Amino acid sequence: MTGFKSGASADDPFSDTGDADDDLETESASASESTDSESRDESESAETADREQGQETASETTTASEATTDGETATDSRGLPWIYERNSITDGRKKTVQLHLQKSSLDRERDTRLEIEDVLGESVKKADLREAALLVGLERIDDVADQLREWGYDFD
Amino acid sequence: MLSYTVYSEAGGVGKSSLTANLAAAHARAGLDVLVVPLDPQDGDLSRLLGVDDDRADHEADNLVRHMVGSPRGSFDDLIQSAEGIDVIPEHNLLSDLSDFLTREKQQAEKLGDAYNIYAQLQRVLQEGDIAKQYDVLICDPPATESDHLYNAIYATRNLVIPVEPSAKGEASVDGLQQLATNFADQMGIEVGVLAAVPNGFKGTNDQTELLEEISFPTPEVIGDRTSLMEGCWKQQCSAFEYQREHRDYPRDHELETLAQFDRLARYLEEQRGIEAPHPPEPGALEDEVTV
Repeated sequence: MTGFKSGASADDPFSDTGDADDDLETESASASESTDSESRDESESAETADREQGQETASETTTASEATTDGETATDSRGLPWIYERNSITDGRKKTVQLHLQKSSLDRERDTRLEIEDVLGESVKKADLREAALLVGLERIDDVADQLREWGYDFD
Repeated sequence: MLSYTVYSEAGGVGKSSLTANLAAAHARAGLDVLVVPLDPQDGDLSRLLGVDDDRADHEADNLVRHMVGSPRGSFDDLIQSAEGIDVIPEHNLLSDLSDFLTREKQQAEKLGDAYNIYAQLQRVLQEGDIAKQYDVLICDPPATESDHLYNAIYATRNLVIPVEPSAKGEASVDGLQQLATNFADQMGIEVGVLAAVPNGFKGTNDQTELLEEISFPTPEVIGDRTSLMEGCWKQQCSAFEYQREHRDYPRDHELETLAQFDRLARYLEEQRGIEAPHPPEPGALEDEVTV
């Protein structure tokens, strides 16, 4: 992985401390195409993304950012898992949504990330962690409803 | 974290102005920005942002001391703020950086240790844990091939290249490509070019032709804004602040330039998958939140 290229470098000289900005509350996370719920939280509407989760190739998207990796995008599907196929964290993530989080949620995310990294034995990108957690959460409707009740939904 | 070095081989293409205004554009959108200017000369970015008070003070702790392992204080204490941007101000000791680094290297070699003179800025920033505290890191090295430049590239891995739309500018982009390729290969790193930013564009046919020769993305082409930039240097502030505080009425063409800085900042953020919390309407002078 050496040399000089048009578009963002894949190197991260500060990777020991986490790939991307742990304190940034608003890193993009894609909402998956969910069947029923609008995945809407109290602070913002998460747009439903139009991409299929996970397996799709990181082919060209319409966002301006893609122009930077022109010629470099993994348009050829070689059947690699997504994280090996893409060139950047936004490849294959067409939709960027803001995520306003409570401080306590951010802390939990940080702690859980370390645990998951322990389980997997490698570092996990924050955007991947968030999207995976979102997908899993959207499958566990009862648990999500309980959390929302704790915040006051369904309050009599 | 988004990190990049603003670099041009030619002087006078508005490198420090571009750096300051990009930093301001990132910051006003709600991102935490650290700027590390490395120019040994006066008339630099610290001057532009009005945080250069200590540059001639030999007693003052400074980045060079940290880079060669002789700090006088904590890393955090080096940082000053202006317009919501954090800056590690330049210090006159930067003119001796190469000597200091060479000495350190010799010392290390005597002891049988490896020492990478180009990795010292990266080491200092990493030890200062900046990836935790900042969303954006911008380095502004001098416009010469130097240890300052190589330390900046090693720490940021990405370049944003201001370009004068002239034959001289084109030659300098070619030269830069050669230089960065060699350095990247030598160091075993990958260097990306996020954008080239033609600056001072007057719209002549020759200039337009030259723009087409640039082999990097040019998301924005900035017009000739001599008056605005001179005003910024005089008042020691970004173009946003200048427009807000020092212009009696807004000039449309200047507001468009501010909008370009905003759009460019968003473009650069996208490269690293970063979304600013409160991106203003491009060029809007009030901090309008468009969430």
